[in-house]
Amino acid sequence: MIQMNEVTKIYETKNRLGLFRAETRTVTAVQSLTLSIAKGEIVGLLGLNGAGKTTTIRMLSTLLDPTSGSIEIDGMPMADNRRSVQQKVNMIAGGERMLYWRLTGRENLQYFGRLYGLNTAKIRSLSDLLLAEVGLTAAADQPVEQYSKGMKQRLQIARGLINDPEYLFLDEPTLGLDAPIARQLRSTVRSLAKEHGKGILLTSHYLQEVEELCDRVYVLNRGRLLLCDKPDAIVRQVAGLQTAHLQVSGWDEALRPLLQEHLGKLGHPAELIGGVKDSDGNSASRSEESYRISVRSTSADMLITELLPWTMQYGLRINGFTCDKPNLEDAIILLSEGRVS
Amino acid sequence: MNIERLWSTTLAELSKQHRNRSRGKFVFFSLLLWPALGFLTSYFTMKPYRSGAGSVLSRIIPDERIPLFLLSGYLVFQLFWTVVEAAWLFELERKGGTVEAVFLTPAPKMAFLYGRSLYSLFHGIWMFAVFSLLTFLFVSDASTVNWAALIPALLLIMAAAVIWGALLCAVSLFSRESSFLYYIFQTPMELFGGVRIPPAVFPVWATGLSALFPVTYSLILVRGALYGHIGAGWWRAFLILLAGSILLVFCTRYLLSRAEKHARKKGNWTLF
Amino acid sequence: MWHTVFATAARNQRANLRAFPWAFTLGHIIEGGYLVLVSYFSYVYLIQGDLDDRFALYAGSGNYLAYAIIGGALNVFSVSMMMNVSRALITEWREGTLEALLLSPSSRNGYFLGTALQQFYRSGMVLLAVLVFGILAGMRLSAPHLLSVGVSGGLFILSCYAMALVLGSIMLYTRDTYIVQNTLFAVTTLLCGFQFPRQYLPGFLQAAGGVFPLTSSLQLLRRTLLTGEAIPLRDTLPALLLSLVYIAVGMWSNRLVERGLFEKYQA
Repeated sequence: MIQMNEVTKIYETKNRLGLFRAETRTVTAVQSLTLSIAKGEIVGLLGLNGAGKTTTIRMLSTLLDPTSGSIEIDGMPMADNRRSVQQKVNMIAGGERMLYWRLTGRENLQYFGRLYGLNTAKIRSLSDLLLAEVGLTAAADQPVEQYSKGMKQRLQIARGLINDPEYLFLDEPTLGLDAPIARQLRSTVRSLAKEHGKGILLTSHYLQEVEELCDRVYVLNRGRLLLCDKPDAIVRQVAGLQTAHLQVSGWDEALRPLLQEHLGKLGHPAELIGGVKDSDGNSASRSEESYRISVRSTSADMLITELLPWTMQYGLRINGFTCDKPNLEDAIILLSEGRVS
Repeated sequence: MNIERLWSTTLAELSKQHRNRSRGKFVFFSLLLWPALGFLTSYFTMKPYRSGAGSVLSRIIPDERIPLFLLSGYLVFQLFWTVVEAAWLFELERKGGTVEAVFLTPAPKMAFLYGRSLYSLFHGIWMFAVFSLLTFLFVSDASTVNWAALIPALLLIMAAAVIWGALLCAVSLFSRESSFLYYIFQTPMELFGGVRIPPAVFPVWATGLSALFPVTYSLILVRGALYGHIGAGWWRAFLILLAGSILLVFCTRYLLSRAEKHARKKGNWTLF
Repeated sequence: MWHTVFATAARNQRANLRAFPWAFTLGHIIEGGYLVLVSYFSYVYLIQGDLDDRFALYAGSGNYLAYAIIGGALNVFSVSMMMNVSRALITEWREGTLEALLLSPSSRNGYFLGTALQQFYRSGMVLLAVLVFGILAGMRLSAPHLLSVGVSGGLFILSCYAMALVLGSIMLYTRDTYIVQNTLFAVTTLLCGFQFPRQYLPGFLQAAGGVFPLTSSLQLLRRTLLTGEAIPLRDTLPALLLSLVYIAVGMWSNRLVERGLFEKYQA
C-alpha cells in the first residue's frame, strides 16, 4: 500500500528579466494531497488546469521530495528508505524519452537491469520475457533510434517492469499511440494489476481509458484534490443521472400521473422529466401519434425492463428507446468549466 | 556501500557508454586533430621569441627541449580533457530523460559517475598512445627518460584524471549548461597548469592558482621523468597529486549528494 | 528585407536575454581574458621582452603585447560571430522551426543579417571586454587613423559574416556543429596569423591561410591599429573580393542544402 499524506510541493522558479534582474516566483504544484494505492488496484489521476499530476508521480517515484507531508510505501517512510523504495517502484513516462537511442532494446534493458542489481542470468531471462511481452522480440537487437514511436513506448514499458516493481506509475502511457497499440497497452496494464497484483497509478488525457481501466480516480485541480471515487460514481455525482427516452404511440396525458406513481414504486430513484409530442406530426390518427417520454434515473438500462410491462398494461406501443449516459469526459468538462461545485 | 553493487554498476555504465558513444570520427577530431593543431599553434606562437645561446628563453627552456616541453604539456592536458567530455555529454543524457531513469534506480550513483569518467579515459586512450608515440619519435631523447618514474607517474595521472572527470560530472549535475566547465576549468587549467609556460616563472599569485590544478603536478611528474630529474620537488608533486585525488573523491561524493537533494527539491532533472 | 533583419535581430535578442547567453558570453570573455594573460605571461615572465629580430619586420611594429592582444581579441570576436551566425539555421532545424521559416516569404539575406546584427552586439561586448583587459595588461596604441580603422574593421566583420555563411551550409549539410566549427577554428587560429606573424609558418601553410578572407582583413585591421597609419584603398581589395565570393557561395549552397534537408529527412 502506498500512502501519501497531506503532501505539498512548492517550486521556486526564477524568471530572468534582464542581465542582472530576476524575479522569484513560487508555484504550488500540489497542495495537501492525500492519496493511496493498494496492490492490485489501478488508480487514475486526472487533472484540470495544470493539476500537478506529473509532480505527484515524480514525488511517488522518489525523483522529487515533497515540501511537506509524507509518503509511505508498505509502511516504510520514503524519505529514510529511498533505496528500498526505488527497488519496489518504477515509472513510465509517455513519449520517447528515458531510453538510450543508440543502444538496442535489449541493451537498454540489460543496462537498467544492472542498475537494479540483477545478475546476468536473471537479466537475460527477464529481458527476453519482457521483450516478448511487449512484442519487441524481433526488434530486440535493433538500435532504439530505428524504432517507431509505438515501439519506443513499448520498450519503455519493458524498462519500467525490469525490476518487477510492486508499484508502477504511468504518466500518459498512451500519448500519441495508434489505437490498436493503445488498446493492447491497456490490456497489459489491466493484467499487471489484476493478474500480477501490482499497484498502478495512471494519468492520461484519454478519459475513456481512465474510465475503462481505473478502480478509483483522483481528480485534481490546481494541485488540490477535488474528488476521489469510482469513475461511475464521479460521473453520477458530477454529471448527474442517466436519462432514458421512450418513444411510444397511443399516449394519453391522463397516463402521466399513473406513470409517475409507477416510477415512485421502483426500487431506485426515477423521475419523469418530460412527455412531449414527437416532432414529426404527420401521423394519420391520434393513436398513431408518437410521444417521447423522458425519465431520469441512476440506470437507464434497468429502467427499460421495468417500464416495458407498464406500457403493455396500458396498450402503448414502443417505437424506440434511447438513453443518454454521461461519461467521465462530460464530468471532467463540467468540473473544469466550474459548473459544478 | 556494497562493493559488488558498485562494481557491477561501474561495469554497466562502461558498457553502456561504449555502445552509446559515437566513436571514430569524433575522437579523431576532438582528441587528436584539434590538440595537434593547438600544439602547432603554440609552437609557432613561440617563434617570435628570441632563442639560441644567450636568450632569456633558453635559460628557462633549453632550445632543443621546446617541442618536448610543449608536447608533454599537451599530452597531459589532453588526458584531463578526455574526461571532461564525460561531464560535457551529461547534458545530452539530461535532455533525453535518461538521467532521470538512472536516478529512479537504487544503483549507487558514484559508480555511475566513475563509470562515465573511466570510459572517457579509455575512449581517448588510443589518441593518448598516438600522441605519446609522436613525442618519442620526434623529440625525445630516450636516454634521459627515467622509466621507473614515468610509468607509475602516468598511472597516477590517469587515476587522477578519472577522479577529476567524475568530480566535474557531479558539478554538472547542478547546472543545465555544461559549457561553463570548459571556460571555468579547462582554459585556466591550460595556462596555470603550465602547459605552455612553466609555472616556475609565474608571479606568486599565479603560482598559487596553478597549485589548484592537477595538471600542474602531473606535468611536474611527466617532465621530471622525461628529463630524468627526480628530486624532492618531484616527490612532493607525487604526494600532493595522490593526496589531492583522494580528497577529490570525497568532494565528489559530497557534491553528488547535494546535487541529488537539489534536484529533488527543484525538480530540474529535465527542465531546461 | 529590412523588416526581416530587425524582426530576426529582435527575436534573437529576446530569446537570448531570456535563456542562455550568460555562460556563453561570459565564457568568451574569460577566454579572451585568458588569451591576454597568455600573451602577457609569455612576454613578461617567460621571455622578459626578449624578441626575435624578425618580429618587428614581419609585424610592422615591435609592440608584441599589442600585436598579440589585438590578435587574441579579434580571434575571440570572429569565433563568436561566426559560430552564432553559422549555427542559426541548423538551430532552427533542430528546434523544428526551420519549416516555419522556410514557409514564410521572408528574405534569407535579411534573416542572416538580422542574426549577425544581434550577434554583433554580443560579440562587440566581448571584444570590448577583452580590449579592456589588454589595456590593463599594459597594451598601448598610437593615435589611430579613424577612417582606416573604420574601413578595415567593417571589412573584418564582413569577412566573418562571409565565412559564417559558408560554414553554416556545411553544418546544415553534415548536420553537425561541434566538429565542423571547432575544426575550422583550430585551423584559422593556426593559419590566419592571430597570435604570430604568418611569415613564421612554412610556405604551404602561408598559402593555405590565404584562402580565408579573415587572414587579409585581420592583417589590415591590426596593422592600422598598431601603426596608426592610413591603409591604401587597394589593399582592401583582396579581403573584399574574397568576402564577396564567400557570400555568394554561402547563399547559393544554403539554398541547395536547405532543400535537400527536407528531402533527406522525410525519406
